[in-house]
This record gives sequence, C-alpha cells and structure tokens, in this order.
Amino acid sequence: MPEAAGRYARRVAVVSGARRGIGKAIAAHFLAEGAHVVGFARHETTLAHERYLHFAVDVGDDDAVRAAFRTIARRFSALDILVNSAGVVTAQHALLMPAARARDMVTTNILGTLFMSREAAKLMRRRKYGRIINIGSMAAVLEPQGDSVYAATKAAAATLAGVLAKELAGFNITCNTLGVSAFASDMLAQLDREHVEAVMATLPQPRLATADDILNVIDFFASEHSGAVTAQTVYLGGVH
Amino acid sequence: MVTGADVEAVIFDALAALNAERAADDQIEISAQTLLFGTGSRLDSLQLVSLITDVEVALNTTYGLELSLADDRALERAESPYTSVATLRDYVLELTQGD
Repeated sequence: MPEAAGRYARRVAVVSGARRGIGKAIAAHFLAEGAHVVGFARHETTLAHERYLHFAVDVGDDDAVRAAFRTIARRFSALDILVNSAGVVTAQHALLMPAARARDMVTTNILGTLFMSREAAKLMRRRKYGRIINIGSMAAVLEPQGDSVYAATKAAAATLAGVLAKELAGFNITCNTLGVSAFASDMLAQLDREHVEAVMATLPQPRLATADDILNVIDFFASEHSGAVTAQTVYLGGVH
Repeated sequence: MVTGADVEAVIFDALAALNAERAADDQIEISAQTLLFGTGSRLDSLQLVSLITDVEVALNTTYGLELSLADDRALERAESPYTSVATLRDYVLELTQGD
C-alpha cells in the first residue's frame, strides 16, 4: 500500500475508544493525516479505511490487550502514538453508586489505561520513540457532585501519565494528558444536562469543547517536536 | 518443546542487545551465572525492563509462546525469577510447562 501524505505519514497510532466520541474523532484525524491507525473498542468498528485496523477488545481485559498487541507487533515494525481515549462514566451520588458500575470505571479508565500504555511502550521502545496521550476530564479538577468515582479515575489517569513519564523517559517516550471540558458525545448524553451546564457555567469558557479544540492539543502532544513535553496535563476551557 | 538451552540463547541475545548500547569497557558478562537483578547486577532498572520485554517478545516470535514474565507468580516468589540468567531460564521453563 503506498504511503499517504500528511502530518502523520508513516506513523502508526493506536487509539482506544475508537468507535465513537473523542476517540473516533482522533482516529479519523490521524487517518486523514496519513497515519496507520489501530483502534480498540468493546464492539466492532464504525470506521472504514484502508489504513485502519480494529480490535473489538475491552481495554480492561489484560490478556486480550496483550494478544492484540502481539498482532500489532507482527503487523507493524514499531508504534509511534497511543491515545488512551476509552472511558466509561456513571454519574451517581456516591451513596447510591452500584459497585459494578464503580468497578467498571476503575477497570476501564485506570487499569485499561495502564494495560494499553504498558503494551504500547514495549513496542515504542524498539525505536526509542513514543507519544502516549491520556484523555482526561475536567471532573478530575472540578470534582463535581455525582462524579466521585469517575473524577477519581480521571485524576488517576493523569497521575499515571506523570509516573510513566518518568519510567519511560529513558526510552524517549513522552506521556501527557488532555483534560477535556465537555464534548458532545454519547458519553455526555448519558449525563444530566442541567448538571453538566451548571458545572460548565463555572468555567472561564462555558462552552462545549469542539473536535478542533481537542485535535489541536493532540497534535501538540503527538508532534515529533514535543520531545521535551512530558508529564503535563492541558485542560480545555480554562479548567484549573 | 522449548529447552533450557533455547531459553538461555534467547536471554543471551537480549543481553547482547543491551551490550550493543554499552561502552566497550562496560560490557555485561553473558553466561548462565550473570546476575540480572539485586546485589551484584550491573543492569539498571530500565535495562532489566528492556531485557524482560525482549525475552518475552523473542519467546513469542521464535517459539510462539505467549508468556507474561511479570505476572503475579513472578512477584510472589521469595527469590525473584529475575535474579540471574539461570533463574530466569528456569522460570520460563516452569511457565512453559504450565502453558
């Protein structure tokens, strides 16, 4: 297959949560910019492209993630970019939070991020180059009511990036987090609209993030010129 | 069936890869007795991680073994399987028997 032109030509990117929402937008952007993209999601793909490979894998399933990355290792010589966008949310008062929903958020949002990052880094170290980007949330900083477990998992994901930044620095792999304010997606649609608007109203920029807002920061973190940018979290919308 | 000599050869290759990045006067001895972890080891933590990862990958690509050398069993041992080439070799063989 001839290599495409674009910002990510000849790059290989893995995007989790690639079936919808932010992950799908990022995967589509990488494809449009010439990358080979490997998507992970629990279900079959909604993307069709000659440079797109999909794994219907739960990122919280360690064995399945390992097996998928063995296939990736055989298919590609190396891996350049990982975006950990897979995430689940249940907004519920802590006193009413079902254990299974809480456990699902911990498994997907924290352990899934770890499993994906660990396997990706094994491939990235081959060429001593890599960019790992976690999709975080304003909830980690704003700590809104109803988001007890979700906010904690997103804070953990950012902390994970900070630690991995140190552990993987010797392999020239950077690890950063993009803290999204709110993005029109299926996940956002699950939340109470008035509650979301009340949280958004506290922001300097009380509007939904656009795909362009998100891709701008993704491009910055993923750039080959961002080798000195690591262990950083960038929030959209003025969250601080 | 993978043998101890096969596994040792894979570990030796991984050590050779590490040596390729070290100065000529700072080479790691390549033998079954070479210490990999703990007192007496000349590998730093990053090199140990690289070695274990390289061995995992090579066992998969060369012998089709799908092993995790950093599983719970490895961490629960009184003596780390990563102590030396010999202990790592024996641990791999143990895993293959249960594979």
